[in-house]
Amino acid sequence: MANIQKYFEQFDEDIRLKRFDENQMLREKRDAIHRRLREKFEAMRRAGADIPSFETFNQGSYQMGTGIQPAEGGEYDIDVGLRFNCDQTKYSNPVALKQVVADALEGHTSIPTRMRRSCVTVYYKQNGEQAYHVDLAVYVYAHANSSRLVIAKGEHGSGLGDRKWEESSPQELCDWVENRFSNKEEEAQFLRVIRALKRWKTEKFKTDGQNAPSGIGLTVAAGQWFVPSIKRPFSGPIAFDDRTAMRAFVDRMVREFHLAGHKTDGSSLYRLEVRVPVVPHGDIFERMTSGQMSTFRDRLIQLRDQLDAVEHELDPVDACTRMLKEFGEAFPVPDKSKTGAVRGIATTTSGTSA
Amino acid sequence: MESLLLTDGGRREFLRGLIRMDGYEIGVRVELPPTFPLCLAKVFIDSISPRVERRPHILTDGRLCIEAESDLLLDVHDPWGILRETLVRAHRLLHQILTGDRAAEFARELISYWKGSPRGLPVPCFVAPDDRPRLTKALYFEELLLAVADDPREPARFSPDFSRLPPCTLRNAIYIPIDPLAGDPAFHPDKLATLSELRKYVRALPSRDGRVLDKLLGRSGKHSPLVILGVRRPEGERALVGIQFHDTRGGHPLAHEGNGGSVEKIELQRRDAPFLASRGGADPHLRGRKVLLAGCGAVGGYLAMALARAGVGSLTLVDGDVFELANTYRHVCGIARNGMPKVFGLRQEIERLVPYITVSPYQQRLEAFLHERPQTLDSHDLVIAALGNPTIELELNRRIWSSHRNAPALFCWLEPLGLGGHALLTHGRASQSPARGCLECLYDHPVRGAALENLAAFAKPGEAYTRDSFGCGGRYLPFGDLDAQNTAQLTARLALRVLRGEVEGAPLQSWKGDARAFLQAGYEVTSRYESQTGAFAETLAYIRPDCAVCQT
Repeated sequence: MANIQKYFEQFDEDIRLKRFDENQMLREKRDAIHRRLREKFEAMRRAGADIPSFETFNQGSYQMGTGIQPAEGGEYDIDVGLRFNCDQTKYSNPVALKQVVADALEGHTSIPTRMRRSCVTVYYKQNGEQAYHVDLAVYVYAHANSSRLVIAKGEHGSGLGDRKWEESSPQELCDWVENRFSNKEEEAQFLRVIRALKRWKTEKFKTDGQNAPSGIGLTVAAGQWFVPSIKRPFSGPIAFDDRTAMRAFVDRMVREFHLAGHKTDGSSLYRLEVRVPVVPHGDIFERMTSGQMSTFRDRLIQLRDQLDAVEHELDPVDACTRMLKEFGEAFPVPDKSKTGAVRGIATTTSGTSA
Repeated sequence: MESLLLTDGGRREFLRGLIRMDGYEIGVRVELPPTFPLCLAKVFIDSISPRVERRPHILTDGRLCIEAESDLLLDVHDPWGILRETLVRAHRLLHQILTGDRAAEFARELISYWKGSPRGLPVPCFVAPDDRPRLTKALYFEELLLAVADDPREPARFSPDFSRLPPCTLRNAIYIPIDPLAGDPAFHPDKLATLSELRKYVRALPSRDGRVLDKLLGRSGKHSPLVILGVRRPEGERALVGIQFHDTRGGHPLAHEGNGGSVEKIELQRRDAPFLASRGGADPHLRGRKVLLAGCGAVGGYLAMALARAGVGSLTLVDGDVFELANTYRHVCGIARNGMPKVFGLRQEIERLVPYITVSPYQQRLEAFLHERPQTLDSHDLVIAALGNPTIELELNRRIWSSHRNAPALFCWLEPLGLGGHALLTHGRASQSPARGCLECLYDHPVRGAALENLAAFAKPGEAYTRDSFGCGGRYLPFGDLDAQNTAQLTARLALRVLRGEVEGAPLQSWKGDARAFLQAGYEVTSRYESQTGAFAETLAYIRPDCAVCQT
């Protein structure tokens, strides 16, 4: 095969986003929101409202190192946690606290703030167009004197059952992902493959994004099943093989699906269960329907087959063209003239004599 | 010392004088050879008074054998010093001659006194001296003694010339070990050439050896019987000299006091394998070792010759190729065997130059050879592949690992344009089973599905380094004779360690050459080449724990 590792790494360079600490824009947005909330809450308290103090913390893909640039037409998505210093008994209705946050941020940007099931979202414009948003997840403590958090779920109009404080361990989850591999090369490959798969699902579910598996779902699945493919030859540099590592992980996911029933046309329905490794230990894909799951599985199978086909391409141009079909236009395809003569896989030059 | 500077026809200057020491008055002459001060002065003993019979270290022309000059470093800027110290050395030696153990000196220098074969040339001797009397053989062409040998086939093993001799007659000769210093403080080499004195030394043999000798004397030919004396030197080893009896009366002259005969000193030239090997820096213990060499090209040719010169006794050569003129400048055979199959040409060249080696040539490809003789890997002590063909070498590696009984194998190869070369040992003995590490460990896909690469390589993999000479089949890798010799030497040294049982594990060795020509040709080196500034140490780091061949 043509060795496409360098193109894989180039692709990653193009799509990856730096973590919070390295990304000034993210820090600025987060800090501006923090400031705004503090000022607003202070004013409200002066007016007699009883609003607990809070801290912000980083969560989500930026924190884990799995963040990617949005694809063409997509939006940046920044996750920030708001932890209020009270326990859940203070707000029996979690939507009430989310509303306090949403109200405080109303008018912070030119686009109206929205309350969504798991967060409050602030939208930003860039060059006159909506360009990115910050998802603020609202947490309080589960009990007085407890360090365990619960997240506010529900929105306006949610039924009573959907408005609830739900156990959640956002920082523990970040820690779990960040500590999957203590070896820095293995971690680097782990994160590259997750980022590539997130871009893949964006590409593959471009027209039906609501059916796509979540990025965190792919991340947690990778945390469970990813096996690095790195060679440390006794001479020369470390040899990463991201294609092989990804192929093995995708194949593992495909094999983890189980039959979950049949559609009316008789075709099979599948489900993939991936348990979150921290409290509340639920299935990270629980909100996907079996139909969405089955589509996800079909596309994973297509990806696996493409990765196999890439393995057998002799010409890096052809191999990268196949990758481009799966991962989108950001995947680099070398110029035919720059790749030189096509080299054999099974028949190569030995460079030796005696 | 009284001295007088004289000139001899204006060409040679010398001092002449008297030395008085140890109660003797010695007439000494010192000559400065034309090459002085590149050599010592020559010291001659013209007279000793009172007269001393049988003086060791003084040659027939009176010259004193001062010291082997090959051991000396002379300061040519100090000719007076050289002359003065020559005299000091001469003085010391004279003192030793006059007062020391002359018998021991004569025993030590026996061979140099045993001149006198009227035929002029020493007789080739293939007798290995030991401590017991025994029969040995003498080869005669008519009445001309051609050789002495414990095994009459040995002369032909020494040199094919012996097999081209006219029909010879074989006669029994007797080897007798004697220790003249044990009972004779006045030993002198001439005594061995005197029948009555010789009988005394023979009678002094331990009684058991004496009885053995009595029987042997009965089996020796009566016609001009030959005796080989193994004369014990002060250091313990034995010098060999011969005695041919003539005009015998009443049976073997040593058998009975009443028998008679005249004595002829026979000067022997030792050609037995242990003597020649030790004297020439080879290892006599390797004569019993059997090595299979696949590939008789530039590296293989030098390798075969190096192993032969190291004393390896048996070489099996496998190569299907024929010598071409293209081999001229980088093969040990040069142009000499052009047109011959390489295995036969190389055998001739080895036998021409090195004795005591059995070379078995097989003009075929290694794959075919192994197919026809599947047991061959088990019947050699070492298998060496110098094929320059990693595909076949990897197959050989797999076969070697298919049975624990198979011999260790050495793979060697070199890189283009003088970049370097490598040798890898596999299947060598560890304490229990063959040590892990093999050629397969060295060949890996950098990523799954990519082409195999040699991880030891200095030249970047995947490039075509061969050059074209006149189309199909004419491609060759550019490298020079010294590159082949270096690689052969690296491999041969490792091979000898294996044959002596000195290697545990499966080391990879590499030598690093100059990259200038390679880089000038527009090629790139690997990081392995670049990372090493000095010589490469032997390494085991290449061994892969997931190797499908050596780790299963």
